[in-house]
Amino acid sequence: MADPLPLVRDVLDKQVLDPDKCKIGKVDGILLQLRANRPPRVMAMEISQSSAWRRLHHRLGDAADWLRAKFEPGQGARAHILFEHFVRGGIDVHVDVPGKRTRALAWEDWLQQRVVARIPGGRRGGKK
Amino acid sequence: MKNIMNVALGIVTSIGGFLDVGAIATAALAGAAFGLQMLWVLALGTLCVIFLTEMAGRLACVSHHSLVDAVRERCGFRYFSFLLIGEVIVDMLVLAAELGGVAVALHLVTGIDYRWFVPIVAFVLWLLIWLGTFSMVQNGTSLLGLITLAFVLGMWWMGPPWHEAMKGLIPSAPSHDAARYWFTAVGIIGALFEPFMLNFYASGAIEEKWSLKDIPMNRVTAVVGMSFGATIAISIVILSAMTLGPKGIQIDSYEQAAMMMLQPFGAWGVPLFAAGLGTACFGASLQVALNLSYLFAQGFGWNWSENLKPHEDARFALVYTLAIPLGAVLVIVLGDPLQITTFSMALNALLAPVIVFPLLILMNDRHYVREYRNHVVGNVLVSAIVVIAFIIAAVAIPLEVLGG
Repeated sequence: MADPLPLVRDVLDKQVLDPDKCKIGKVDGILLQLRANRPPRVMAMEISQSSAWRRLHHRLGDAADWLRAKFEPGQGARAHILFEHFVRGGIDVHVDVPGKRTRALAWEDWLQQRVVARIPGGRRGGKK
Repeated sequence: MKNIMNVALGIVTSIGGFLDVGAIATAALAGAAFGLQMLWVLALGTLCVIFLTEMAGRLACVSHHSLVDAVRERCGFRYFSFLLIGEVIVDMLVLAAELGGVAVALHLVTGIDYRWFVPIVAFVLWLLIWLGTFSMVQNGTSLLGLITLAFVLGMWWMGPPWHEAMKGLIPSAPSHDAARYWFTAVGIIGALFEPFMLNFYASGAIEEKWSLKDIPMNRVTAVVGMSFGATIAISIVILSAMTLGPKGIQIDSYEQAAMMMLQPFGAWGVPLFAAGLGTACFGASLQVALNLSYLFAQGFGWNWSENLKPHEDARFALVYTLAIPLGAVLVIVLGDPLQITTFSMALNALLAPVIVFPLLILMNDRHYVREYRNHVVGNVLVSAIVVIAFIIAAVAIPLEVLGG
């Protein structure tokens, strides 16, 4: 039998890093897939503020969801990464999908292009 | 040679990090109101902060995670949300106090109302963080902060009563004004282990790419740097006790605090006090503003580094871009930077357990620090001091507020 993976200890709330060690976000929630007549399957890791605030109180989650639906650039579903992209856990979670291909960086991209790039000294990337 | 330079720079940095508006204000208040009787609080607090700083640095060296990062991961989002709310409130007040400190320093030199300087100081602060690198921000301001050694010179010039100072190191109850005594004690403790400083130190270690080989340097930096910082704070207590205490001056403003430098330095006294206050507060305001960005970025897992261009970590840059003007508005609206300082320092003591106890858990967790775990002495000593400070803060703050 393969080594068991303690989801709460080694996955939930951990930093998610893509193959380039880019910080995508924290694991804010874990999604299970319910299947008829079969045990549930771990489906995905959610990277979304609304999932995190919902763990505190459902009303906070609702408020965060409302804000996300109203203001988030692109306005899609909550960002999540399928568990098939999981490489390893521990004190960080490594995934094999680039951060740019997830919705987790929607706000980062929007701020880069619409706000930071318009302030002098903020246009170019890289090291200072 | 490079190692020696690193240690020297680390020590200078620690002095800069140690001494800020809170340390200067609470030390001056304590000396003027209670003479040398409160030196024991400073000594005990310094011992505690040495342990805490060393732990925060060791955590970063071994796990490459900062304190906030690890708290979110180890203690979960629920706990992190309390820390986030508490630290945002306290850090914003401290940022306002530091900005106010720089503005008051400029007022002392020019005579112009300090409020006029607040927006200018805030803009320069933002510009430095926006364009500067971590080393430039940290080392530049810390080197400038060495001007605070003027307080030590002033104390030597006055010929301090060493015998009485030694007696002050023994804990004692107040002979008068007990509520104010304990409130000031809480303020001193709060100014010593400001929660922002611990996470800033750990984040700095990650920015500078510290690793296992830097553990000895971290230890030397924590012990020597914090002790040097404490020496300056003790000098302020003694100087204040020798110059303001005998005249019955109870400090109600920074103008009154500046008078402590008149006796040893004459006409140069006020400009020297202003230079010390201004540079120390400016350095600390850089640290608090950056720490607010670290707090959000690390807690929510965003990309972060002061060494990256803002384009690479836009959300990190956005936090300090919003926090600095908000801090400026706070200091103008709330007024009286000295009162903001003393109150925010006492709140620091209330918040301290929220960040110190997770740090102790992390420092005993094999997943994070492997074989570099804490000794029992560090655990017990730090827990005891933090619990005592919390209890005193919980009692003294309402007493002081009710007593006006």
